Amino acid sequence: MKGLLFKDAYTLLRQYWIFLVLMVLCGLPSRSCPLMAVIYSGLIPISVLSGDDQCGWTRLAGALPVSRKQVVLCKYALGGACTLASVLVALAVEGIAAGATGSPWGGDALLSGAIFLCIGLVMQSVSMPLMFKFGAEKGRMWLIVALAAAGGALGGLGTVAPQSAGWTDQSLLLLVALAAPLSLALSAWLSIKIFTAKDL
Amino acid sequence: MNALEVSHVTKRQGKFALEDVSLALPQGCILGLVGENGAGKTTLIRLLLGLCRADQGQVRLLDADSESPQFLQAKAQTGVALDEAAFPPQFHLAQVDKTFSGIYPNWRSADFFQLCRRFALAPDKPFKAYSRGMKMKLSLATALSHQARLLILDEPTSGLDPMVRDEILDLLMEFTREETHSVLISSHIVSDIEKLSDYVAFLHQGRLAFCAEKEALEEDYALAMLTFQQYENLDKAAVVGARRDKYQVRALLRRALAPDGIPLDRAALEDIMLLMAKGEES
Repeated sequence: MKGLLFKDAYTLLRQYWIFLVLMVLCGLPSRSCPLMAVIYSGLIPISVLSGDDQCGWTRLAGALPVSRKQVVLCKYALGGACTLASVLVALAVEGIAAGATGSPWGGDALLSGAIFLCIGLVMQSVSMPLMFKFGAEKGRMWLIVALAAAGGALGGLGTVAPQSAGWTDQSLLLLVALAAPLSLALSAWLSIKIFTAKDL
Repeated sequence: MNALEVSHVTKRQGKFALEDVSLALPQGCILGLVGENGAGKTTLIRLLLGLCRADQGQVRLLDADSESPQFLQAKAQTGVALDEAAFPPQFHLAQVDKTFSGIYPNWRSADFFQLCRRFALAPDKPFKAYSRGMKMKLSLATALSHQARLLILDEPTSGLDPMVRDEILDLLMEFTREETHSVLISSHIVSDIEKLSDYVAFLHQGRLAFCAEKEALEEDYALAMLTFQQYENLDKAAVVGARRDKYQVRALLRRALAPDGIPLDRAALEDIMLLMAKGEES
């Protein structure tokens, strides 16, 4: 699996810095870097898998002494690491910008960063099995649907939550922090089943 | 032990089906897999490598069943070159080496770079800038750099110039000097198969027409140029295939059943394939 991780990391790193610049440029003016981080990092495993399909690496990997499970877990590791790294960079950039302008920045920002991280992982949980089942291009389409649904749900929560007794940001964090690992575990199990049965 | 075995394998894909194919490659030998486009050669290779599952039958690679946990260990000792070389376009040789050293337990970087030098592969050129011949040479270099006992090559010389083809064939001959080394090579280029192989398997429309020792084919079959009368008088059990033109019939005969008095010529592998595939044709 080391070889697979190296291959994905090397393929990704060449484009990752562009993604970071875009995230900062798009997110910094509206202080939405963590949101941008989650959106862009959700596209990364899809982008890598799309590249693999186009160059024929997916088929070659099937002929190598690596299991289908390892191929799948490698993509999940990549997606999770990218989401975490992206949110951390986003928070750091916003923190530096807040410090430079003298704007308030602190616990709330970190809390929202943690919430966005978990939401990002949940979104990957939705998109990854679809990618493995239908391919990277249709997986991208489903990610957009998932983003729209997540946006709607967040908006709905924002409307409903203040009306519910005791609903706080900490409650929301707890909810998504529980949902993230559970959804990732279920998603990985499903993706492994799908990819193992697939003809390459 | 056979290097690979396929037993009564059937695989259906849409309108195409590989039907009831059984063959084996004895250890230390080269098996040439020939057949027309769409005959099922690549499908068979995909089954051997675990890229797809058979609907029926069994596949064994280096004595490991394709459904068993030992299959991955067998693949670790199998060098693979698929019909299209498939590395990330921005990879250089160093990244290929690093990737495969983390995949194959017996990877030898020194062997890999030595082969790359032998093939004159530029280390500073990305994969996307390689020609078709260079891409295939890189595939072969990776297949030969992890102490493989078995090579499975899908059309390794297709689209290559004669010099490169000759170089690759020499390399494969070198590989099989070790008694434990075996090769399965699929190709349209029948002359390459004839030059290289100990055994030949002919796939035709998803079925195995024959799998035999190359020398046995020469003993079993012969070509005859016949008049129409001679052809009509022949026991048709002796005829494998025939082609009529304006003046004569060119027939592939079973030597054992060919009547005395008819001059017989050696049947080249290409003749056997063509006439067997076409049956009787005007």
